[in-house]
Amino acid sequence: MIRQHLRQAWTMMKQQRLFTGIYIAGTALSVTMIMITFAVLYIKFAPLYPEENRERTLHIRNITAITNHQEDGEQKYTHSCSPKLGEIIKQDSKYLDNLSCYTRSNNRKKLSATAEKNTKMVKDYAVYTDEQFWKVHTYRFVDGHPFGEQDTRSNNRVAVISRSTAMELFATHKVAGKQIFVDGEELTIVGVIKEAPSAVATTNAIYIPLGLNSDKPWFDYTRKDLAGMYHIVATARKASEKEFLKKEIEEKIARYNAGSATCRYEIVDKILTHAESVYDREYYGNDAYRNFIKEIVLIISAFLLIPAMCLSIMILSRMESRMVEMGVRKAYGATTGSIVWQVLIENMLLTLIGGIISFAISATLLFAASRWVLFLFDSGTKLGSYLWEMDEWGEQILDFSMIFNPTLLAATIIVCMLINIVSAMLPVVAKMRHSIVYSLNRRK
Amino acid sequence: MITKIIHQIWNERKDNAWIFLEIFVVSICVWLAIDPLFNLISRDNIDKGYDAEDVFIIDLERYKDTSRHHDTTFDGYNNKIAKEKVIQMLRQIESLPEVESYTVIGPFPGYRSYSNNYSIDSSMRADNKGMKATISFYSDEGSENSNIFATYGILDARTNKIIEKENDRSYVYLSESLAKKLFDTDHVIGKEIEYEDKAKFTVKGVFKDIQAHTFSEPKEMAIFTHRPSDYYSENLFSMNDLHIKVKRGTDKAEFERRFREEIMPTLKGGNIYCHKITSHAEKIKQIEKERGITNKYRKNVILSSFALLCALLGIIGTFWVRAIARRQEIGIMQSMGATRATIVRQFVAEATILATIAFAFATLMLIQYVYMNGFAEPIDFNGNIKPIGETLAWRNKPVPHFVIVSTISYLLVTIISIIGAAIPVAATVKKEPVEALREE
Repeated sequence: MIRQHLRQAWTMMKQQRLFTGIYIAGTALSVTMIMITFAVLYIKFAPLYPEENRERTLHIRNITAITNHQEDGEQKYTHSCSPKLGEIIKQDSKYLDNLSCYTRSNNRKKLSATAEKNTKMVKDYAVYTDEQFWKVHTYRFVDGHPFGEQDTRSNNRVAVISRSTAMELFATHKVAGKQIFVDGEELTIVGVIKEAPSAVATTNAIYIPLGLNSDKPWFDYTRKDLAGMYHIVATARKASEKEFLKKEIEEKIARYNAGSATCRYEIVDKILTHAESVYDREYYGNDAYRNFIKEIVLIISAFLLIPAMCLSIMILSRMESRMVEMGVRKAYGATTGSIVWQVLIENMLLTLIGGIISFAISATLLFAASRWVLFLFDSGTKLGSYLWEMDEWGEQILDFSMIFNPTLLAATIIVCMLINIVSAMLPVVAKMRHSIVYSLNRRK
Repeated sequence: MITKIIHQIWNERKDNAWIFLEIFVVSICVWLAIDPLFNLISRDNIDKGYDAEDVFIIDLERYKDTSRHHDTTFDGYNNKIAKEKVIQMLRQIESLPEVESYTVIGPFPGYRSYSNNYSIDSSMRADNKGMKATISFYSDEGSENSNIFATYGILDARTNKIIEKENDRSYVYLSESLAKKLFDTDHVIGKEIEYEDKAKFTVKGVFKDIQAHTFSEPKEMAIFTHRPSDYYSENLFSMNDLHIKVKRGTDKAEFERRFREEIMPTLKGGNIYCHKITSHAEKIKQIEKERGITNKYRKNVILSSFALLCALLGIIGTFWVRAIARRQEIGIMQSMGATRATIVRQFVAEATILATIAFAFATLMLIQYVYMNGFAEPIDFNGNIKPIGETLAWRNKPVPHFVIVSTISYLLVTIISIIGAAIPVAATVKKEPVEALREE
């Protein structure tokens, strides 16, 4: 039966080319817009390489230190964090899986394969971090391995570099065990990582144990021991335990404050889930997140509702011109259900063609215009920092798997079905209410 | 004719209700998208109060202590050798044949401004009431021939000529509306404002209001100018930028290239060096991107284009099916002597009336919406919004704003409806009347 309907639909498509063209264009337009919106959201929120733990990740970028000294009075400043804060969070934690401190060097470093001055160089920021960075982030090693706890504790002169850096300096990625010079200082390469697509994360040229970091905070950090120059990223054991971990960290800081006479710390509202960190809850509060959700819901509704109405009207007009055909079919015993089913199949075919076209268009647009499409829903300081980082983006911004993946394919199919049902159901049911005699007489 | 068309629309009211509904929804979407777009676009036509067409911004930086270029000879507050080097650098820039003037400032017109609290003594005001006010301002840092007025073409409010900067001591220049607000009179030259009981500044001139942010309206503004200092601090340069105005008619692209490649590497003043040259227009473009203005443009253009395109497709599809269904009627009309143009006009008139009625209903709903939620408002630097009703430009007052946005939206919706109706009907009436009648 479905085959019969499909054959009928195919014939109708060929007969009514203008209608078919407009219907497919309308569907493609709608699905393209929704697909792009979904893809942008997917890239921002879904667990993707190397941030495959996003759903159980917490970020602490800053902590507010309140000092109270006789000479200065009470002073409140927000700073990045110190490794000591990481140590406090790690102590006897029930919910913590891994925790890493990391920071980027103040200046770009000169990386070279030899100490000679005229040798080929790569200039990039170095990331100073600990061994757990490689557990929180799931970077894949194309050669060697990450540096370990011993390396971090003993400040061993080791480094992990990115594949592109290895290729640039050594013309091969098999460089584990070789030496690299960072601003003239010699380090041993222990591992080489595959770069992340820039839309997900920025992969820096080199990662070095944090004990080797010679940069110092700009403020007097001896008075504020939990403030420093690092960002903390932690993973809870399970996604469902994220909120418990947040509470646990807040309690630990409250206990620490109780035992500290000179400096208190505020950390509530500064522990962010991945989604909160994407939309700057720290700076703009819950409003930013609410506004973002509101905007997305409105945009998706408009992208669905307007074309659905447009297609509905077209189907209604076409049904009007096919009233006689429907009357004849009913007169020969066809049920309302079978006619509705037929119309749905006809439209489904058109919608699917529109869906396939839109999938191709949206993928092309995402690849071609990723430098602005990906930030269309961003604002505030986060947008500024994305644009800042964009200058350092590598060649690979997106990965094919980010667009051609089951989640987005399923979303596209659901959207197509929705558009089809919403636009076809109402006009068909409205026209099917008429009696056979009315339908047969309709055009006389 | 109109009555006939209205009857026609009424007779097919059930089918027309759908088109009506679509145009109604599209009208609302288009209006909501055009509202913020109008705010963004209209500001481009506002008299900004400055002219930055020929201005380039040169980022000045200081070599870090760890840099191999850093020379400790130039360190220390009020270092005379360092000061002499910087002055030489400025003179070198000033002597370039393309350069007309320069200024050393931090925040600049179109980007943002400083803000501080000042007080005005009661004796200075017409109503004899002292007042305190937060004033937005630019600060010309007063090195050598630094001149913000010449560089940014800031005009005297009365003479309409570029303000002459006085270098004998520090002064304040006020914009027209700020002068009126602070002193309650138009005669403000020679009056004084005071900064936190620390320093008094004499008013030396009045200029036209300046558009402080690229997305706001011209507003109350002050400009402080300082006497070329006896002391020197590297911070004066590393924390501010050098803005240069090139002579009109200069090939700006060529100048930028020459400056970047040939001049910039030679420009050093002690530990101060030129890091980057950007045109004012390019800088503003970057700022708009960072602040989400460009995103807002793009989103609203996409949304309104999408709604209009959907409406176009819907109307084309519907009128096409309807024109085919009414082929007999078209055939009879043609056989009675109606020309093709008459028939197309009738369908187009139907679409126009439908669009007008739908838009009228949408307007009622939009009035309600604006009453409850207000207009889309331009964002300022801090993300704060400035209520439309409190702005200066007449076009942003509530009633004119609503009328303008509604007119633009109505025209767009109507044009789309007309095109959507005309294309399929024109295609249908190409057939001969006999052929059309025979098909029935």
